[in-house]
Formats: sequence, structure tokens, C-alpha cells
Amino acid sequence: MATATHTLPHAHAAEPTGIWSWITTVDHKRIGILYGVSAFILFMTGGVEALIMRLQLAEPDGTVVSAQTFNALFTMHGTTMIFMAIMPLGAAFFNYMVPLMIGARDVAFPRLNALSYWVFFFGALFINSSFLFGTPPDAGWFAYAPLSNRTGSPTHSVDFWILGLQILGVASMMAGVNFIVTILNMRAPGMTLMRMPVFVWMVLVVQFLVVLAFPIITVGLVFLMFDRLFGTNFYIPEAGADPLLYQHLFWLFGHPEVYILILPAMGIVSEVLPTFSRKPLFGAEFVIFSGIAIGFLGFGVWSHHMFTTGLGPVADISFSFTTMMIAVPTAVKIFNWIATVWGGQLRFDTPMLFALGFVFMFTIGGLSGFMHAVPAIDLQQQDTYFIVAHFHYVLFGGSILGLFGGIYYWYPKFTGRLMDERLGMYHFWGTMIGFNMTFFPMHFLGADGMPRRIYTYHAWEGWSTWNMVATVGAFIIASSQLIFLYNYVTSRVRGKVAGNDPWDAATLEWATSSPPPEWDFDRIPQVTSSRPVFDMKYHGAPKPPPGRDEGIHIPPPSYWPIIVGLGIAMIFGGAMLVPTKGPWVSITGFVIFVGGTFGWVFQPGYGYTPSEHH
Amino acid sequence: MSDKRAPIFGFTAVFLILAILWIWYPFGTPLLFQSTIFPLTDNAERTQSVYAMVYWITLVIFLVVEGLLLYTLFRFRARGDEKAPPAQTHGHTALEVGWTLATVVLVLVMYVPSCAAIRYHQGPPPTPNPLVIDVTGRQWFWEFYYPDQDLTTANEIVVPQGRTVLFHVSATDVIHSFWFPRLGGKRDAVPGRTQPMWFTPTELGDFHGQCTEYCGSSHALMKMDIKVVPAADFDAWVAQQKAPSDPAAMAGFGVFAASGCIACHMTMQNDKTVLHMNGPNLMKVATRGKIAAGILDNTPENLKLWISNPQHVKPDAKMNVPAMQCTGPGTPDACCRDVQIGNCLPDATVDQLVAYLEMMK
Repeated sequence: MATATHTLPHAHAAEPTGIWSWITTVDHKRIGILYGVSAFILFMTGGVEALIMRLQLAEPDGTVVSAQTFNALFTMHGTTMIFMAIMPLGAAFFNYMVPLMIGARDVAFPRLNALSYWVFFFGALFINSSFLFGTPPDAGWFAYAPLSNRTGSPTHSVDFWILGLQILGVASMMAGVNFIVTILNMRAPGMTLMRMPVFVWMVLVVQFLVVLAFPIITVGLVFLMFDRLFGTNFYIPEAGADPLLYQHLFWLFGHPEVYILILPAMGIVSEVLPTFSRKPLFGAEFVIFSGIAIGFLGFGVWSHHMFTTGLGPVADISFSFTTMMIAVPTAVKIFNWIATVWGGQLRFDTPMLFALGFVFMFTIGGLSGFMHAVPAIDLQQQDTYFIVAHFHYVLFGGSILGLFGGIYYWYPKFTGRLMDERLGMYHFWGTMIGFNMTFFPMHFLGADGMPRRIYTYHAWEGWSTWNMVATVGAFIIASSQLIFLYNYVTSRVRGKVAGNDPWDAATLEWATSSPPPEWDFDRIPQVTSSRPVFDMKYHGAPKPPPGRDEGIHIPPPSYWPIIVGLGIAMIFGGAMLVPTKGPWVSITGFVIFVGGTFGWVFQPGYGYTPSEHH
Repeated sequence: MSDKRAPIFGFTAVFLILAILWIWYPFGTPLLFQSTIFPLTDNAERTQSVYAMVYWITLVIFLVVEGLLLYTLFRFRARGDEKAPPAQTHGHTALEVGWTLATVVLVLVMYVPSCAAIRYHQGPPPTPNPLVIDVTGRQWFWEFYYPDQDLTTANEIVVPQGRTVLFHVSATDVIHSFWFPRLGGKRDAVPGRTQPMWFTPTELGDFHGQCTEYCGSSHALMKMDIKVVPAADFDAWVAQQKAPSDPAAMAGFGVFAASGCIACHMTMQNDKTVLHMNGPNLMKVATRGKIAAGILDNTPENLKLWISNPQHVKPDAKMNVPAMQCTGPGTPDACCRDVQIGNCLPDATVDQLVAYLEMMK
């Protein structure tokens, strides 16, 4: 086929390749790919953990793994999927797409951006290295004190978890600040806030949530760490502490975290549905304000995770109200998405399938969520498989389907080629069938009284059938992801050449080449509406003249971010050795951190001008 | 072209299957030991009435919203002969305000009865003079104390039919959650806190419950049973529990003490002076239906299995003989090399212990 060997436009001969170029890169697009690849590897790791759990539970009295291993598996499955798969998959899109969608040449702080990736990288490595030491975290992904105290978990297991999350938190905070500054300051001329793509809006909301929510869990985890390592009594009931303090701090972070996970997917869906309906997003400003409202309300609902702890009727009535109120902006979004599709010319390409799958499945997750917003019902459903079903409908049926939609949608922008439609269709339907087989029966298991986090059950309890169905479903999900992986890899070579704008889309990232040059845009476009590229195609808006802007500066590559990142990870990671082996690892980390920062400061960061080569 | 409609058929099939399952469940699902939707007490009935309302309303929302989505997909699918983009509608304020308000109203419809249920469940028990039971969650068993009867027991409670039971739920090590699904919603057992919860059992029978807050290795094996009996039988049960043990049993006490069991378990007393020992109270253990927190039937064989190797039955169970068993001359067993596994008791000793415990009634 001629197209298979077709030279892609903007195949930049001068752009460096090789591992060193990836380690030192500060290009937001490459960092986006690093995030995406790392996150997908971790997504598969968490998936394998889930499969082992499903094997154990497939039949009563399962003997696949021990109780201790099972407990570590569900702890690491949750921790991995939330902090090391869905969040960084979102970050992959923030990094790659946001500068392109707002018409910028990079993020505001490119080296800081590289640093947040490397800190994330070392954090993920650190927390998963606990498997090699034989002490994986096993106190659950929210590690309630006092189970997570030194007496409840005497090994280093929970230390790995606490310190790993602190490292990952540092990465998220830096990225949060970076993207807030980028979005607020680096938009192309004419792109007012209300002309910004809805995806970028959702990213902005998410970054504010990150910056406001992560300090809370940092405090909560520092207390726990001090209890474990230095003998303080923040959560020790024998010393008079109330362990519910931990739960309040955790969920005051933990609920905004849920929206940190779902809002990027909502943003992606808000881009995909209009494109494949050939219409603008219906009520865009309502969708945006709903996203902001969800962000605000997200800080006022945390105690709905704690209805069974006995906070009293006043707290239950209040938090039940705020929780139910979240249904309003969420419903507004769903109605607007349906209204977007209404009256369109719908094409069912893979990105559209995933976006529709998102709306379909997320609605179910929203409705089951409404059920346990009612405290009386929650007292029956809390900590059963009904809850497991609910949050997989929002995090898998929601976040993951949305993010897959994003991958199919923007893959041609990343690579210049389209992913295979037929394989994409198999991937979608395999995932959809497997997902519903796995998680819909879990509603029934929960209502039949099966608690979550139990490593075994007995035949007489009557949970065997649905558990077997769920296990079969889980393997269907897993095999479908292999189709995706195959499609992703082979389409880089065999995929149809995409051109700049394969979907007939409307936003700015489709104005530049696929893949974009290192400097993103030859000419920074002028923006006059929320759909600049659509206007250029159909409304005669002026296109940028050929040629390239003078004086483009690209920040130079730097190896300091990976060094500083290593230092930060060592400072935190070494903390768990302080009571037994002394502070030497942390001190070494600190020296690396300070040295790396000096090197960083004195490295010229003002950039270079790319050479003319085409 | 039929292939253009294939995705719509796919979505429709998923929609129909889920809708049918949603409608089927309340009518078709079998009654299981821990089913939450077949309530047996006033407390659980109240939950069920709110749940039923929310269940059917959310089902209607599901049918309407997803149905509308499917209809939209079908009606507006591209036919492949479009010349120009469709009408570019950007929004409709009245529509936005309309569906926002409609959602608010629907939320309030469900919120008001929900608040009433909160007041009901967290208010005082509906009848005066409830039977009080103090519940203490432990890794990994349940300790129960009847303050009015001054009676300590474990893993099994007996309550009279028709009288409200008021539980004071607490814990001593980590957080657990106290739950008898058919009798009412759960209440967390939090160390340092004591929290009330009540229900009035109306039906005779033996019902199952389970810890529902992850509490460490053997969280899955922390079960319990509740027997609802006629009021007269309850009094008889209390009398039996309070009665002194068979004097003949004293013969076995020596081996019970010498094997170290006495460090954590009481067999001579079950009043408030022996609350919160490390292990469950065993004074009337032979009257219980199950052992090891509701996971094994109370038979001599199971007792033997449980005593000889507790960690095999229940991972990380805290039942270990004291070190003295493994230090003296004539060390009984190779298992002493790993003090975490097994009780290292000679077979003959275990048999004597089983015989002793069988007399605890």
C-alpha cells in the first residue's frame, strides 16, 4: 500500500531520538507520551491484580492466593488504578493536548513538567517495589487507622503506601500549578476563557481540585507517618485520639479525588460527542459551570463515605443533601450531551463508541450512587459489593471508557495515523460486554449481603453464581485490552495516514500537523470563536498564512529533572528507614535534590530557536 | 446500510439486558442468608421502604434517559448522503433551566423521606425498656455483653422475639462493622467510641451477620449469628448461661491452664469482670452452634482442627500458645521453630482440651 510508506508531513529529521532524548525531554508532547505509556503499564499491572482476585473469588473457598496476598492485591489494585493509572492517563492528555488546544508552544514551566513526570515515575516504582521486599501494602486503599497504625500493620507495608502516595502527591501538585498557570496565561490571542475547549475547562477545574485536595491528604498521611515512625498519637485510640479524624482527612481529599478522576473523561466526551455529531456542544456554558459546580460541591460531601461511622443525624442529613445535589450538575451534563447528539449527523467511529459508552455507563453509576446518598440505604450497602459495583461504573464505565475514547480520538494527532476501526470496534464491544458482566452482578452480590474485601466465601452463602459470572467478565475485559494494545502498536506503522484533521473537528489542535512539530504551531493562530477550526472550514474564517513565526524559542532538553526527581523520591522513601537504620537514605536524597536544583538553576532555560529544515 | 446501525443495536441489547436484570432482581432473586432486601425487623423494613422508592424511581430515570439516548442515536445516525453540517444549535436556556429544576424536584422527592428515615433510625428505640447488648469488635471475633443480665459471650447472641434490642457498638483494636443484613443496616465499631443501634426482631430463627469493615488478614472470617427465640426461651437461655459449669469439668481445667489457654480465655466466669480478655469467653462454648467466629460447626472434630492449627483455619489468628510450650525439655513438636504457626500442642493434650471444652455448657 502506498500510504504505508508515505512520508508523514513534519517528519522532523532534526528532532532527536533515542532513550537519552526521552530522559532529558521537556517537550510537553513527549512527557504526555511518557505519562501515557507508564500509566498504561500500571493499568495492566492493576488489571492483573484484579484478575488474580477474580480467580480467587470465582468459586467458593478459593485457594488461588492466601488471605494476606488477597488483601495486598485489593489494596494495590485500588491504589494503582486511582493514583498510578487513571490520574496519570489523565495527565497524559493534559500534557499532550492542553497546549495544542489553547494554541501554545508548550506549558508554562516545561522543566517543572518533566520533574513532575519523573517524581511520579519514581513514586510508582517505589510503591510497587514493596512487592519485591515481600511487604506490599495491605491495609486497603484508604488504609484506615488504627489498622494502618504500627500495631495494626507492623511491617513496612503501610510505610511503602504512605510514602509512595506522598511522592505521587508531590508530582500531582507540581503538575497542578503548572497547568493552572499554563491555561490562565498561555492561551492564543483571542481565546477568551469562554472560548476555551470544554476539555481544557475540565482540566482547569481538575488542577484546582488537585491543588486544594492534595494538601489535605498530605496532612492526613504525615500524621499517620509520624504515628508509625516517631511514636506520635494522632490516630491512636488508646492515647485518646479519635481514629475518625483520619477518615475525615482522607475523604475530604478522597471525594474531590473522585472528581479529579472523572472530570477529564467528561471533558474528553464533551469534545468527542460534538465532533462526531458535527454540531457544537449543546449548552457549553452550562456544561462548564456544571463542571465547576461539581468541583465545589465535591469538597462538601466527604462524610457520605462515613454514614455508618455514626456521625449523628445532623451530619447525615446535611451530607446526604450535598451529595444528592451533585446529581443536579451531573444530570445537567448528561442532558446536554444527549442534546448535543440530538439533531446531529452521527458517525459511530471508535472514539464516538467510547464516548457514548461513557454516557451510558456513567448514568448507571450516577443512579446507583444516588441510592447510597440516602443514608438509610447506605447503611445496608456500605462496604458491600454494591459499592464496588457503583464505583466501577463511574471509574471504569466512566473514567476509563472516556480516556479510551480520548486515545482513539487523538491518536492520529499523536502519531499521524488512525487506529484500526475494526479492532477498535472489537475492543469497545469486548470491554462493554466484559465490563457489564463483571460489575452489574456485583450490585446483586452487594444486595445479597456480600461484603467487599473478603478473600473467601462459602457455598452455602449463595454468592457463587454471580461471582463466577463476574470472573468470566473480568477475563473478557482483559482480553479486549490486548486487542487495544495490538491495535495501538501496529497502527503506528500500518494505520491510515490521518492528515491534520481526520475527524472534521473544531478545536485548535486540529489546525497543526499530525504529529505536531516540536514548537506545536508554525504560526500561533488567532481565535475568534470557541470552534476556530470549524469556522476556518465552514464559515470562511481566515487561515494562518503559510510559513513560520519568527523567533520561536524551544526550551532545551535537561537531565536535571530526573536527578531532582530521584532526590525527592529518596527523601520520602528513606523516611521509613529512619527509626531503624537512621536517616542516611533521606540525607543522600536531600543532597541529590539540592545539588540537582543548583544544576537546574544555573542551566540556561530561555531556549533555542529550532533550525529551518523543511 | 445495516452496518451503520450495528452499534445502535449493540447499545440497545446492553440496555435491554440491564433493564431486565434491574426489574428482575427484586422479584426473582433467591432469599439468601445475608440478603438485604428481605427485611425482618422494624429497622430493616424502614430502610426497605425508602430503598424500594429510590429503586423504582432510579429505574424509571434509567429507562427514560438511556431510552432517549438510544432513540437519538437511531434517529440522527448519519445516512452518508449529507451535503452540509446539520443545524448548529448552541443551546437553549429555557431547556437548561427546565431540566435543572426538574432534577432538583426529583432529588427533593427522594430526599425528604430519606431524612425521615435518618431521624427514625438514629432516634431513640421505639419501645421502652429495650434489651441492651454491648458489642465489641475484635480481631477476629465478636464479644457480646448483656449488662442487665451481667453476661459475657462471644460470636452468638440470643434475643427474645418482639423486644427491641439496643446495641452499643464499639471495638478495642481496629475498626470493624457490625451487620446483620436481614435485621438492619450496619454500624461501625470504632475503638474509643460507643455507638447505638437498635432493631426489633419479629421473626423466630437463626440469622447471619458479618464484619463489613476491612480489619486485617481474617476479615472475611469474622462472622456471627443471632438467634431470635420466644421470650420464655430467652429467660431459660440466660439462666443456663449464668449457671455454674458441671463440677466434673474441673478435672480438665488443669490441662487448660497448663497449655496456656487461660492467658486469654475464661471458662469459669462470664460476668463483667472478664470483659475484654484477649480471646472470646468460653464458659458456655459448648452451647454455641459455631466456633471460630461463625466459620466452623461446633463439633469435636472441628474443635480439634481449630485448636491444633488455628492459623490454618483462620489466617493470622492471634491464638498462639505462650513460648513456654516451646522452651522446656522434650519440646513437643517441630512447629516450635515457627511460633506463628500452630499451637504446638501434643495430640493427646488437644484431645483433653476438646473434651474439656465439650463440657462447657
